[in-house]
Amino acid sequence: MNRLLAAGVSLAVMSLAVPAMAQNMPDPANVKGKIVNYVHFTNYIDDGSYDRWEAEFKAMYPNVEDIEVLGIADFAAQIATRLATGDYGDVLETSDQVPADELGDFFLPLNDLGIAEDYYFADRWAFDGNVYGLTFGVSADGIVYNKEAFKKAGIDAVPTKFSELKAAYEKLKASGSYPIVLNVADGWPLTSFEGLATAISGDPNFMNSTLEDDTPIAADKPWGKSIAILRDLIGSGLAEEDQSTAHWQDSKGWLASGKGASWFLGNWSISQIATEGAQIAGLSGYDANNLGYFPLPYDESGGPYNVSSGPDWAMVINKNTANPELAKAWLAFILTKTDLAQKAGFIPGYKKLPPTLPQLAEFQSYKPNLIEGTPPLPALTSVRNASGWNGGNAIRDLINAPDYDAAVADINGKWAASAARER
Amino acid sequence: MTFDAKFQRRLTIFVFLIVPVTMLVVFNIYPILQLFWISLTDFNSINWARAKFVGLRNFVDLFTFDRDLLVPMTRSLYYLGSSLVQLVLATWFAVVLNQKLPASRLFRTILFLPFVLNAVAAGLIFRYFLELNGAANDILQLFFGPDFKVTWLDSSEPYSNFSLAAASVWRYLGFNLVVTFGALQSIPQDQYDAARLEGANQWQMFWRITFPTIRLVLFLQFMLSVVGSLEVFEVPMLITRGAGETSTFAITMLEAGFQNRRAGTAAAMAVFMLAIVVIIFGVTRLITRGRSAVRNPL
Repeated sequence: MNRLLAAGVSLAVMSLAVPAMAQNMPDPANVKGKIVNYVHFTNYIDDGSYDRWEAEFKAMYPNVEDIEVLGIADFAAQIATRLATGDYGDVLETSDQVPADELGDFFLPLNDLGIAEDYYFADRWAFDGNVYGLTFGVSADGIVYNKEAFKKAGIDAVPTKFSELKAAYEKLKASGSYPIVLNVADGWPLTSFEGLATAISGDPNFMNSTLEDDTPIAADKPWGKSIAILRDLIGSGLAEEDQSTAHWQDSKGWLASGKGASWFLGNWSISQIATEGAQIAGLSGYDANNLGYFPLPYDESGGPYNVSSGPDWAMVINKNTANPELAKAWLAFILTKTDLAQKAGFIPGYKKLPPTLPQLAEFQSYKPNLIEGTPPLPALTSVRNASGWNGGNAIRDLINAPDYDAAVADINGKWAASAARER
Repeated sequence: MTFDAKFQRRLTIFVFLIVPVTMLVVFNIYPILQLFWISLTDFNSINWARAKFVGLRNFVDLFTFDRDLLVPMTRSLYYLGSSLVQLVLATWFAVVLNQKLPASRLFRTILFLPFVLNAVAAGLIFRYFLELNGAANDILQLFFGPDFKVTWLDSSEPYSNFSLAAASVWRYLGFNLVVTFGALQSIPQDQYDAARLEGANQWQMFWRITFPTIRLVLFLQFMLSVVGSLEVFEVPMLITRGAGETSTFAITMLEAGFQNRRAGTAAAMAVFMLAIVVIIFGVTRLITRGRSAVRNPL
């Protein structure tokens, strides 16, 4: 199931850059007025990209008055509060704040734009035949590594087995780098280990299937194996030194400079290291080719390994917007006619745009088997919330529990009780 | 048309009160009433239109299905213990500074300064001080060599709560100091002079004159500490993000409400905490009823 990456990378090779005009862009005569767009890409506001795109958009639609693009730094937390109050602009972004059956309460259907057919994960924010959100791009979780740090430690080949990975990490530790930067204290970076559970299981519907499981994180289950890998890395002293105070911003600088040799996140993080990380580390003129990307070898099979891939944030439109035509035109423009997704290092959600991230070619060379997770059922969201086993923070607290086995039993127990309630 | 004096006075009082009372109702009373209402629903913190009335189910769940949400309350004991230490220290400082030593005003200001500091700034100061590569370890490395590192904060170990409680003591010591110092001002100096003439030493003067007089003020401060240690939030949140063993009741409440989208459960937790606080203050009133805070010394 390499079609995602293979299609994307071969498109890049063939330099197909012009997207076809198959979608139904709104009639320029109807597109007028002004809208407010809340985004989390504050860096693209600061560097003028949004201004540039606004100018291009206004050239296409002369009746447009203004597009106000407002950046929110702590987007995930703030947007949830805004959704509750009804004051969330015209165009905004969402990830997993709203359960699937409630999407229609907040957002406008995007079916008439005609782009959903050419879109990855179009069913992720859909309900009852209506597509409410379209993602910027797709990310796959893998090991992003600093090539210089690896070379300095004497590692000449990318590890293809878990034992080789650990051996490589031991060499890195001896040479003075943090072998893998897990950012344990921040919590959310550990969410990659959720994706790893899906990868280990090889089943795109893995997360939904845990609804039927009364002991989802038992040691022999994919979840249990994923956490075991995490504990192994931490227990062998291969993670960063300070696991109790949050260092996310600093860690980008570590990866850029080589003080941190690798981390397990998605390809979206590569451009962040190359730009923000280099700035934090005080390195000018950073060569992004110093960063590599390979699938995490989670067992001794030697590959090819499964890799969990999923959508990033999606653009959505407020159901109560005063200017639906303008909002839809802006959304379609940003997603299909700008290079936003490519700049951010995603595989663009719109299939006709090729990904431009060079590290994806290296990733593809290891022939990973991409597993695209199916959309979470509303029942799954409900059980995850009720049981508290809900993402990186829960994984972090499990890792920190003094008695690991007791904590696992507690989580399994609460999961089973929550699932029973849901039925 | 003229108003008589009584009416004018009533009108003046009303006009001056209308603004603060309106603000109290809008920003305080109404949200509390809404909190009670939310605790009786299954609101998912985003979609009020779909919130269903579930009666007392959230409260029943809190003691059965969601029992694990109450576990972080035990961390409050660390903060309570440190509050006792804080109170003792503050009283000691207050008594010493009451002796009219030179620069006592300067010391009072220095000790009070952390309380005036912005809570986030104070939290971050301690984070940079206590983290593994932070200032505390740097200072120790001057004495014990360049590789000496004490893990002051380890989210997997309960002892980290002592470090966090120490940060809390640093911050709130000044408040206790100022309150106790104020209470000490009401003791007339001639009591001490008479005692000194009769040959009493410092400890006897404290125990027999000072302590009985300010006993009630200290008790009130202790009760405030109990409430404060139940509600502790910003110190662990800023320093360790409330991870693992450093989580507290308030942090768990916020996680339940906003991360896990269970605003009904979180509201029930808040009402539960409110009930505990009301009980504590009720007990305080019972014990202090009829006595004035600073007993008439004569």
